[in-house]
Amino acid sequence: MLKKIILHFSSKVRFMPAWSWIWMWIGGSLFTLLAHAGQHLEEWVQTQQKVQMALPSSMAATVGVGEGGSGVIVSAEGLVLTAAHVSGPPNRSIRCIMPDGRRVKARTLGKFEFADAGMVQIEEDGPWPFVSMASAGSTRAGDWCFALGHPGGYQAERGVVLRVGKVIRTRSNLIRSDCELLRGDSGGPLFNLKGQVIGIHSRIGEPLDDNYHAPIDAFHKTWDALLAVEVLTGFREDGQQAYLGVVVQAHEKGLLLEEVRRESAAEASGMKEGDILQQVDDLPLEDVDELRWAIGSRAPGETVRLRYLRDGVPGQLDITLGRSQRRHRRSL
Amino acid sequence: MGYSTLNSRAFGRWIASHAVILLGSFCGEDSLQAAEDYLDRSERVNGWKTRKAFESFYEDKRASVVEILEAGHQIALGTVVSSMGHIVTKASEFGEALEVRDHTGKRFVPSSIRVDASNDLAVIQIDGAQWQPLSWASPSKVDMGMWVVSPHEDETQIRVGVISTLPREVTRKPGALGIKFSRFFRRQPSILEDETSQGLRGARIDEVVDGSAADQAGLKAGDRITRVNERDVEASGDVIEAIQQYEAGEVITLKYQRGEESLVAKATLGFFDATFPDADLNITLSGDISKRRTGFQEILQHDMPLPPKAMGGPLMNLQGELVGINISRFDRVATLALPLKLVQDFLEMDPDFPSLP
Repeated sequence: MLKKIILHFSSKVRFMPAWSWIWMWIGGSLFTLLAHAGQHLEEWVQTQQKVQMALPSSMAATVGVGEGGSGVIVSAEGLVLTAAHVSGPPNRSIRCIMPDGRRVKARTLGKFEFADAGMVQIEEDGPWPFVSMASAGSTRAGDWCFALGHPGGYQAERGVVLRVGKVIRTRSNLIRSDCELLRGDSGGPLFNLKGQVIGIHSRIGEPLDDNYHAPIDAFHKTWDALLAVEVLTGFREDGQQAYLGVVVQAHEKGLLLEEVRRESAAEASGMKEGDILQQVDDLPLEDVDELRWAIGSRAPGETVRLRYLRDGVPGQLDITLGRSQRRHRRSL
Repeated sequence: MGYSTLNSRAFGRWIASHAVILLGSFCGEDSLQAAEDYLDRSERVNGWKTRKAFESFYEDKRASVVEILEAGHQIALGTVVSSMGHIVTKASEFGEALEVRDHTGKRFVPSSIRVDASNDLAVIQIDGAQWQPLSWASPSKVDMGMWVVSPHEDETQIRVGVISTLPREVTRKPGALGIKFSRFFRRQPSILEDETSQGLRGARIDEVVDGSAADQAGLKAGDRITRVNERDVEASGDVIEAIQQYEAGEVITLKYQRGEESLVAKATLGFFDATFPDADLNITLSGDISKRRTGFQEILQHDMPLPPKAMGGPLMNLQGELVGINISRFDRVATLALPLKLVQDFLEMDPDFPSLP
């Protein structure tokens, strides 16, 4: 058919009739789809090669941590990255399980709870097999990645379990991916195709592509504190957390202000109980976590623009944030 | 440039390049990639763009996949393994009144069904059907990290994943009766002694799980089990130990006391995880999973998100060759497939089976 059209053109007709556009459209669509198909499979083959190349060293460095968690060794001396909720309280004696089933003594170091980042030090003599970490800011949505860990806990006859996926979103406290995780994976490593650690498995939601990892950036930022066995419970790595002074609950139009704390930034700015908070700077407020993030990630003294409804009338306020009365307190 | 100067090849190129630009805004990716730091659903590993990319790959394999129907509803997929109408599928999903629907929508009634309970496989034969089997990959070509492709429950769609572990055996979990005992009675022997002195014997059932083997056998809370098959039992621990000797699907005979009455019941044990789904938190986080998840001599584990109804379908490599048969949706992170070696052993037990492709 295509040949017929071409012949038709090459003879006399200089104006393309409507139906020939349709044929071109169909031909073009087919070409696009085939080209895409070809490209995609090529990409898949290359991804597989890279994953398989990185597997032996990344599997050797992936360990079981404590009772039913995972972790990854990042130095020959046996420093292990894991999740804060796996390592638990600092300075605790635990065991790490090597890929060959050997159990070795280890001690928990510090943790950064907001990102769920934790550290453990193996106390027996190395050298240990280890992997390198990706540099800060090197992970983007759309990147290929692969996850290792012990879903359901360490099982000798099964060994470490591989999943391959893509990074869906990155934020300072999380990476989301479609590498499916399950309990027991917590603390296990997420790698880029170079075999560098880009995240540590942390939590999941019910949908299969709702898998969250503590980003390696959060470890880089808190490195010295974690090594020094500190516990960071705030949103910020420096512990300098801003404070607004409100109690809110979800509302169909935003967040309903239930209480304004006395002598807080919120009171000083003139916010009233019953106001409906809708936006902090550019961030629309749909759940309490978003306000917690919007305020908690800022330092005292910073100014935010807050949009709200009062008796149905929109208004806005510029608020200079205060300091949390109690350091490290997880509050707004 | 006049159209008259175009030869056919140049014109083909012109169509291609211009059409791509033209269609770029409709099915290109650029517009989405420029968006914020968020990967659209369509671009994820099993997003529709992936499915689209694999469409041409799957087109000619489609005729080698059938639906297994029970009472008109799809319960599993089947994989064509001979050109003489042999289909392999997962055995534990179906009971009776089976039908098979092929890719054209035509329905067939099996002329014979043979089951291998040890690996949960069934081979169904359809007389007169002439489907094309997939070619079989060499077993040495399967390794960890390798992409695999399988049809979804809606077998016109496919999913992609990787082999997640080394091949291994998955030992069988014992069957479940579906009764619960009170901890109170186990810890307070004095009460038991009291009851014994009153002439009450056996392990008292505290709760019967709805729809379980015990429920179907007519057991009720308050009944006291005194015997499991040939074994006399006194305490709850004895009952648990006795039942753990048996597998799902086995029939056990129970003697029990209900008040003054002595009764006998026959119960067909159920699958443990299906009977007690709350016993393992990982199962509650996994959505739909297969009833039978354990008891396979050797499996290939992969990470494709497949529903239980997609079991029995083919596991293929990127060359479109068969590498296994999906046999169990295990949990959120794992689907299990039987390697071809086991499928082949099973098929060759039948002397009439034609030589494999």
